[in-house]
Amino acid sequence: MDSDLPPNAFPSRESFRFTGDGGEYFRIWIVNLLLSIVTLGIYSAWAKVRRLRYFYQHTEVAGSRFDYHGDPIAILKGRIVALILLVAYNFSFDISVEVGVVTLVVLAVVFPWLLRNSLRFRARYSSYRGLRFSFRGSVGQSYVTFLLFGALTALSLYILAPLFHHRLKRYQHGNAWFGSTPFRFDAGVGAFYRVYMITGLLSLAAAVVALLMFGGTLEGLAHLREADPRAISVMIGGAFVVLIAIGLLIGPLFSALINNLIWNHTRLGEHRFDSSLSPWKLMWIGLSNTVLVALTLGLFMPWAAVRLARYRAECLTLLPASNLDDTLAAAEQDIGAVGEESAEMFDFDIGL
Amino acid sequence: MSISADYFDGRSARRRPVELSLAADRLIVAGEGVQREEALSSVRVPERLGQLPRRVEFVDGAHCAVGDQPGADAFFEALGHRESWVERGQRSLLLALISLALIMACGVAAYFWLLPWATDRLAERVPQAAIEMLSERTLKSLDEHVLKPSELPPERQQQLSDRFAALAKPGATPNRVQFRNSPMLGANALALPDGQLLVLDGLVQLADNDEELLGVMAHELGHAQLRHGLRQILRTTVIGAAMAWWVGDFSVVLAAGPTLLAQARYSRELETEADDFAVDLLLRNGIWPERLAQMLEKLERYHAGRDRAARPESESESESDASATQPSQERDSSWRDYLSTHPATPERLRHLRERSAP
Repeated sequence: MDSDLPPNAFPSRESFRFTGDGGEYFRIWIVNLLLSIVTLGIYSAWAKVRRLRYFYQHTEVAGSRFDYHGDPIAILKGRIVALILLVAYNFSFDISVEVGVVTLVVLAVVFPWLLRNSLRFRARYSSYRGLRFSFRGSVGQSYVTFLLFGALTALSLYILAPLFHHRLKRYQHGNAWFGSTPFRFDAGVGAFYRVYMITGLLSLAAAVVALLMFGGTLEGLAHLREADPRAISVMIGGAFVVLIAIGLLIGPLFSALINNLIWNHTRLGEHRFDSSLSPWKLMWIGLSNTVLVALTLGLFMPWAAVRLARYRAECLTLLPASNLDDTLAAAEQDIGAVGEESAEMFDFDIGL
Repeated sequence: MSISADYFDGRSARRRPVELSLAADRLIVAGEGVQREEALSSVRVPERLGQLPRRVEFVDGAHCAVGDQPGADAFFEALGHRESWVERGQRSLLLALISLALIMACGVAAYFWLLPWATDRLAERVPQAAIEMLSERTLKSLDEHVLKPSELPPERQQQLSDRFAALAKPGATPNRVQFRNSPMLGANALALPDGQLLVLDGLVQLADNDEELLGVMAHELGHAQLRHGLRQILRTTVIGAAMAWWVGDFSVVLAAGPTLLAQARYSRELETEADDFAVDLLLRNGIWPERLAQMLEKLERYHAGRDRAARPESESESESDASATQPSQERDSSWRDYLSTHPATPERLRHLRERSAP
C-alpha cells in the first residue's frame, strides 16, 4: 500500500475505515437471530461472535483489517454467570435482608475480578495483522478502580462520577497491549469533569424545560373545575419528550465529547490517535436511525449499526510517529504468555 | 491451481504477499521469506462471513487472508472446506427472507397465543399474599393521588355493602366494598386484584336503582376474580422485557416507547369475560341482567357529556395525546380505560343482552 512512497517516508495519517454493508450484515443478523430465537437464546453467543467478527474484520487501518477470535462457549459461560448474578441481585432481598446483604458482598467481591477477566478476554481475542492484543491490568488495580472508586462515586452522590470514568478508562486503555507494544492513556481528570459539566448543564436545562411544561399543565389543571384526564396525558407526554431529548440529543453529544477525549489521549507506543466525532453528525445519525428503526419495527437495526460504525471509523485516525510497517513488524508476540494465559479456566466475556 | 493471499506469521505484524497452491494432500505457501508446506488435515478454515476475506489458519498461529478472486471458491472446495447451511444462509437473500418470515411468524404467535397463555397460567399461580400486598399498595396510591373519602351517608354505604354481600357468588374470598369520591374519575367503580371493590359516589348518584349498581359491582368483581388486573400487569411486563431484548441495545427510548403505549387497557375480550361473569351472577340472584346494560348505556352517555364539557379548555393539549392514531372515540377515553372504566360499545351491549336472554 505504501509502494508509491519513497523509502523511509511514511504517511502522517492513517484513517480508520469501516467497509461493512447494511444489506450484507442484515443477512448475517437475521439468520443468527432466527437461530437464537429457536434455541431460546443459547445460539446468541454464536451470533455475538459473528457480529464482532463482522465488525472487526470490516474495520481497516493502514491497509489491514482487525479480527476477532472469541469462543462462543466462553461467551455462553459468561452469559450464564451474568444471568445468575442478575437473578441473585434482584431476588436475594426478597428472601431475607441477611441473604440480600451477603449477596451484595459476594457480588462486590466477585465483580471486579469478573470485569478484569472480561477485559482480558476481549483484548486477547482481538487481533490485527495476525497479532493479538492483550490486557494486563491486575486484579488489585481492578478492585481499586471498580470497588473503591465505584463506592466513592455512589457515596459522593455522583460528584466523583467523572473521576470514576477517568480511572476506568485509564485502567482499560493504560493496560492494553498490541503484541509487545503497550498502549498509554494520558488524559487528565479535569478534562473528564469538563465533559460531564457541559452535558450535565444541558441535561439540567432540559429538566427545567420539563418542569415548566409540567408546571404549565398544573396551572391549567387548577383552572378546570374537574381535573381533565387528558392534561395528565400531556404531562406524561412532556416528561417523555424530555427523556427523548436527553437520549437523542445529549446522549450523542456526551458520546462525541468523551470518545474524542479518550482517543486523543491514547497512544500505541509512540503513535497517537486523532478522534474527531462531531456531536451534530452523531445526533443526526442517532435520530434518523431511531426513526427508521421505529418505522421498520426494528428491521433497520443492521443498517443503523453499520451506519454508526462507518461514521465512528471515519472519525478515528492513527497518527504514526515513524514508519508504521517497521514498528508493526517489530511488534513481536510474547508466545509463552499467550499459551499460559489461554489455559486459564475462567476465560469468559460478560460483555462490557 | 493457485490463488494469491496475504500471509501473517502470528508473531509479528508483518504482511507478506504469498501464493497458495495444492499438491496432493498438502497446502503450499510460497512467497518472499515464506515457504511452508502443511498437511491439509492440519489446516483450519474458519467460517466465511458475508463477502469478507476468507482465512486459512495454521496450528502455530499463522494465517493467510484470501480476498475474493476468481478460483477462490474452487480452491476452498479443493481444500476440503464444506460450507454449512448457516454459512451459506448468511449470504443468501432467499434464506434471509425466509428467516425474516419465520421470525415474524414467531413474533405473531408469541404475541397472540404464547403471551396470553403463559401470563394466564402465571396469574393463576401468583400467591394470595402477593395479591393482597399489590392491592394494598394500589389502594394506598389511589387514595393519595386520585381518590377522596366518600360523601355518601354511612347508612347508605352500609346498605349497599350489605346488598352486595348478600348476593350468592362463585369463589370463596369474602369481598369487601369500599366507597370513595373522585371528581377526576366521576361515575366509576374499580376492582382491586384481591377482589375489593371501590365504588365512587358519582356512580351511586348516576344509578336509578340499586340493581344497576349491583350489576356494575358484579362486573368489577368479575375482573378481580378472573384476575384481569394481574393478567394485564404480567402481559405488560413481558412485553416490556421483550422490547428491551429486541431494541434495548440499540435505544433505550425505543425500548420504553411501545411499553408505555402498551400500558394496555382492558381489552374487549376481558370486558366481555367480566360481562359474562356479571350476567351469570345476576341471573343466579334473580336480578335482571338488563339492569347492567342500562347502566352501561347511562355511563356511556355520562362520560361522553363529560368529554364534551372538558374539551374547549384542553383542545390544544389533546393534540399531543400519545394515542392520537386511535379512533377518536377511544382516544377520548384512553386515560379512563387505563383505570379500568369500560367503553360501552354497541357490540358489547348486544352480546350482554343476547347472553342474558333466557
